[in-house]
Amino acid sequence: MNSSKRVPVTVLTGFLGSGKTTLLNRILSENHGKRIAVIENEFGEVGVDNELVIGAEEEIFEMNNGCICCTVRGDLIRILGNLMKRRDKFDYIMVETTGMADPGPVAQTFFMDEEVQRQLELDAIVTLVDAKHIEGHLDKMDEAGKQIAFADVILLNKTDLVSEADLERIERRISAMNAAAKVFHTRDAALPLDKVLNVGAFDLNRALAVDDKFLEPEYPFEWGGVYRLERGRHRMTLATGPDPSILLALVPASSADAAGLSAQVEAAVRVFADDEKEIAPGGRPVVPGNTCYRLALDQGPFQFDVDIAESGAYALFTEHHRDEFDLRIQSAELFAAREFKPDHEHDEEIKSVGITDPGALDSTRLNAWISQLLRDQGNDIFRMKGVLNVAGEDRRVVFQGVHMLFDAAPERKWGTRPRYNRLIFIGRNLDRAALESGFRACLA
Amino acid sequence: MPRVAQAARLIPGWETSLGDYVTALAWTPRGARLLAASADGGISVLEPEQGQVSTIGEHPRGALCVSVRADGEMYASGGQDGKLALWDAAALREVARLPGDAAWVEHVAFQPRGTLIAAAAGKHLKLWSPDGALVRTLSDHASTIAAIGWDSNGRQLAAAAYGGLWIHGVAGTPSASNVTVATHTLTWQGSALSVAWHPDNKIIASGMQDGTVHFWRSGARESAQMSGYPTKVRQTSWSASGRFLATGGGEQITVWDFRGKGPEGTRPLELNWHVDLVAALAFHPQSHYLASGGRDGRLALWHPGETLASLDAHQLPAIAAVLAWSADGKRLAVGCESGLVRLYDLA
Repeated sequence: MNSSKRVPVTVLTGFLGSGKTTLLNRILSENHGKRIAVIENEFGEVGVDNELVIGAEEEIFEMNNGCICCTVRGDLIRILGNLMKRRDKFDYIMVETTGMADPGPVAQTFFMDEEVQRQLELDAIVTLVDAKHIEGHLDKMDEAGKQIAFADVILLNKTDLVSEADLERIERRISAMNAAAKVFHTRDAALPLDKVLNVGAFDLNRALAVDDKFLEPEYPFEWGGVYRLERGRHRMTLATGPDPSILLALVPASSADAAGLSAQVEAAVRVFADDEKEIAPGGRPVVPGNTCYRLALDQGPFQFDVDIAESGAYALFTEHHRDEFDLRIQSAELFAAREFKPDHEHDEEIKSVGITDPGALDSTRLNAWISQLLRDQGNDIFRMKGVLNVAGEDRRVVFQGVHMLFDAAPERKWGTRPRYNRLIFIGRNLDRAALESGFRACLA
Repeated sequence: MPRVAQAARLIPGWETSLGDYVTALAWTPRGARLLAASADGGISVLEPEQGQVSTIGEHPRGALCVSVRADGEMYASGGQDGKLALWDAAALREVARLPGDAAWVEHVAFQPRGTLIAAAAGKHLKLWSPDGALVRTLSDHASTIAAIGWDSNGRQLAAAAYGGLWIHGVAGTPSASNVTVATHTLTWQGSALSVAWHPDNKIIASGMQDGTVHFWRSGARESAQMSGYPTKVRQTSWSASGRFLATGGGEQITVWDFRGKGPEGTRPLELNWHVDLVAALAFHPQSHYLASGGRDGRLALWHPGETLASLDAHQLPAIAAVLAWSADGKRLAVGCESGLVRLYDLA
């Protein structure tokens, strides 16, 4: 008796000025053959004459189970119920949230009400980001980070208002927070609509695309640069900085450019993992190789010698950003440099933790681990997604979750393809080491 | 095996089709007319004897609710245009269109044994006099009001919202200077979706978003909670005798027996027939007959207390959204999602 197909819903978030209205207007006016109903947070901004545009005033209802993250948009349940009375008039629904919205309650609304669940399906959370203002927003307001963390698709908008370098830095910060979202650069929120509609982000039947390159590891150093150094002794100087010491490593590079620098990153990680050697200003020199030096900065002036046996390109990696200490190698030219997100900084910040492993999981232990994790940290885990290799199951098990709502199902068979686990957690106060050890304890 | 007291059936009779989903139905006191609201905005008057349907007006964007005054001389309707409309029944003419304040006017009810008209829009519950004057605005509800209901004396007006029920005690004659309202709340930390007054006005029941039904007896600070429903409970209907409370909240109809000490700690009657969620429930105005509509498109007639089996069942061409018995109990009006309105005689 019911219409069998559920109506797809896209949730649109983003701060005031990020371009939500522009995107909505684009979607409503472009000739894509889809009839779209819109629930907007401020009636009158978009398509006023359109019968299928409804204004909503956000009302968050807490569930009476003592769980602070179990919330839904009560107004949305009512409005969607009413909208569905005219379901023959539209194929798609877009829900625009307020600028300062926490996407959690909106997303959960689609899983916590039986009638909504039966008739509607959440297609994707799309977040618009104002490239010019996002960094300031992220520094000051929790909601900005949450909107990025919950997103399946991020439109990095107003790219015309920032420089290439700024854009790169912003995108890296966004990717570090949410490694699973697809990021598009846009001006005026312009992009092909199939990138934001019918994304299928919550559809367990659609293959999850979580690439290796999204799961950027964390580094023990914040900065790296490549120099060309002539044979002989060079002087390295530092000014007083935030710490009484700094770790560094100097490794030979094949070329004095960005590629040469990147090629040495893994080597540098290994050097930093080794024992340190402490040196004082004017004492033993820094020599390229496998030594991790700890430069003592309690007694100035901070001058250290760097001895180079063979002229060539050398990559220097420092624990803290070199700008914090005004670290220089005198009369040496810096050819390329890079920043790295440190793993010791700001645990309370939102970040993504990715885990990959080829092993098979014991399903009982896995269920217990996930249940406990969601009970203890459900409020801090915003999204989780992944593919699992479960012992005794010849199909890929795909899962996705929002806070404590977790959904998993077997998908297509592994067949002859190599099996693996790939999970991503997006949230705050995430302890990477604890997540990894918890996961590994589930391996069969 | 319980013996059925009467074999009863629903015999299909007159029907018509409105433009769109039937959102509300209300009979006039002598059953000559049915007032109907439709999702396309239309307010219609159906006259089954004459086989006539007239659309008397509309609420642009959608009509949501209708009410008929006890004397049958005035009608009220509310809609997505954010307005309350008052209609003169004799002339079938709109006599006032009153502001709800931005939000949709989703619930409207004439005061029994009184003249006030209660209309809910968003968090505000407004009391109007028949000449269109605003008598009171009650705004202390914590969220958009989900349902309203007057008790049978017209002395208490309940509003369901997030946080429980707001009970407004209304006294005085309806000129703004001498209507007094005293409000108290019956709290439950959850979203209350329905209001159902026991016929003696001493118990009030409410279905909740969290899959529970709560009821408060007069003077009680705390509710009794009936839990275990698979989904939210939107349908709550008392029998005229006050013995039974029929509830939805799943595919099963759950009927609580309030005889003696009440249902607390007892097993309810479980009526199973629908294979999808219950969409509408209505107890007969005099007897224990109960009509139900489900999202499976089925319509069923029950007599809880006599038998757990349905007495009669029909497959409708569309899901029943609204059920309304005529005051004399002889006819059941069924309003469907397709716009179909069909009358059944109780035989």
